Amino acid sequence: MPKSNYCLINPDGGSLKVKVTANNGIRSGSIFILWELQNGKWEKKEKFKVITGDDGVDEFILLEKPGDIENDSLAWSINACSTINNVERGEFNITVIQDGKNRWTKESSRLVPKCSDGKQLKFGSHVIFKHLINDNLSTSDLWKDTE
Amino acid sequence: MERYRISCSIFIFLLVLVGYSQDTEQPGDNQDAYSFKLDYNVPESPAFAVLDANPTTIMRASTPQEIITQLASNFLSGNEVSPGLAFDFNPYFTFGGRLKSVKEYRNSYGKRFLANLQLSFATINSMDFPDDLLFSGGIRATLFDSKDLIFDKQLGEDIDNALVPDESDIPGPMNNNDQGTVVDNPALKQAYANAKTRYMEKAGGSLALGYAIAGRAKDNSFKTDSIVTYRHQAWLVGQYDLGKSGMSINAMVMYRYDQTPQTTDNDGLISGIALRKYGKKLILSAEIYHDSMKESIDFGGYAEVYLIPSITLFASLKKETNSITGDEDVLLKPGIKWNFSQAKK
Repeated sequence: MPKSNYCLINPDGGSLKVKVTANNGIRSGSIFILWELQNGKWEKKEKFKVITGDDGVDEFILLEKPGDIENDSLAWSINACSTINNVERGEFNITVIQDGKNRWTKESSRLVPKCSDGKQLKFGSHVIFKHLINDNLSTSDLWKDTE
Repeated sequence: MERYRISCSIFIFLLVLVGYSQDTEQPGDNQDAYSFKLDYNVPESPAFAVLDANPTTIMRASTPQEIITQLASNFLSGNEVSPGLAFDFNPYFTFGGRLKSVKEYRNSYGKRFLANLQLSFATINSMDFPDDLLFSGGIRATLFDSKDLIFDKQLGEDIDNALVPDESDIPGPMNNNDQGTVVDNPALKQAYANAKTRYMEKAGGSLALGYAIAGRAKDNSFKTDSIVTYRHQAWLVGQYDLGKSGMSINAMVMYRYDQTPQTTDNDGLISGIALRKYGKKLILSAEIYHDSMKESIDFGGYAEVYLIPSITLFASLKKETNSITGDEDVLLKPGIKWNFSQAKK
């Protein structure tokens, strides 16, 4: 599993906000699921429908408290297509925010088909939450310690 | 010559016949979304306009579509029609321009202006200059379009609803489809089919400005001393769609500076109007215009039919004057519009 699939959060901090953006007038619709591993089996805990729409941005707040979310997986599936003439590529960002701090960001630049062609780009991934021991320690510092 | 005229007549008859036979489909029934981009209000190539290679003289003012490659071809046997190629694209996005969102497109006139710029290049082999290659470049800006599809909020909502994954697409806890795949979504096609019906029934206007320059490479040579520019033109065109009747009125005024072997330092105005009738798969058009350089009033007829995916066939009948002999003749100009963005997928 790549390093970037881990998101370090403060267990004593505020709720986690997830923000999704798509630029260049690209429209996207997605489903985010929070999964929890219980007795060796993944259970669905929360589900969110995210539509970036005219603004190119949408967000939601996880109901689960950060202290109870360690090792949970937030997985998503995104469908996207382009409505603006001549636009073939766009940037997508998924950011986990806690107490105003960006805890984790995934950026990607993708070729997207035209909505008018009746086609969509379907992609997805997931992130695992881990409790941060020291709030001053960044994700990269933590990985340096393990290498 | 007689054989050519007969071929022309047969071609136009077949064009209209096929167009009308396909035009009886109900809106939304088995309509492919790509037909929306190809058979409706696709503006003419500015670079073809300055070479007189467009099938019509009076141009359209609507916002440009995706990358379109146009061929002016002599796929009929007549030698009078000049083979050529025009390639149109948007410079803003091609050279790295960005747009924050659909909202920015709607609210920022500047961004919308840039997003709808159309840059165009063309070459053509003219029978007027059989040993030379004619080439041109042009730019076209949409100043205003009240029927711009991006302002159709219903279409935006329909697309959003179509994009939300259904229950079968619930991502698993270890979902790792980061590369992504392009898949068909019939609901998107339906959203555009509905938008097309709304578009055709909506009244509204648009305004566009263009400039183009044409040159001649003598003996097909691109050495500096072999290239001469022989024409500049700038134009303003307005369009008003009447709505449910499917009729559209276009008016154009164009300033042209011409330096051909017969006319040195000749300039003047070409102005006129066109009436267009839009069907589902067929566009019929008639135009009349005044050319102050020739002191003549000319007319033309035009038919455009969408037959197969990615390809639109068109043909026009137009009274024209030969630049060398000065003879007047009614010419058929057949051609093809090819949706480049469709073809490369």
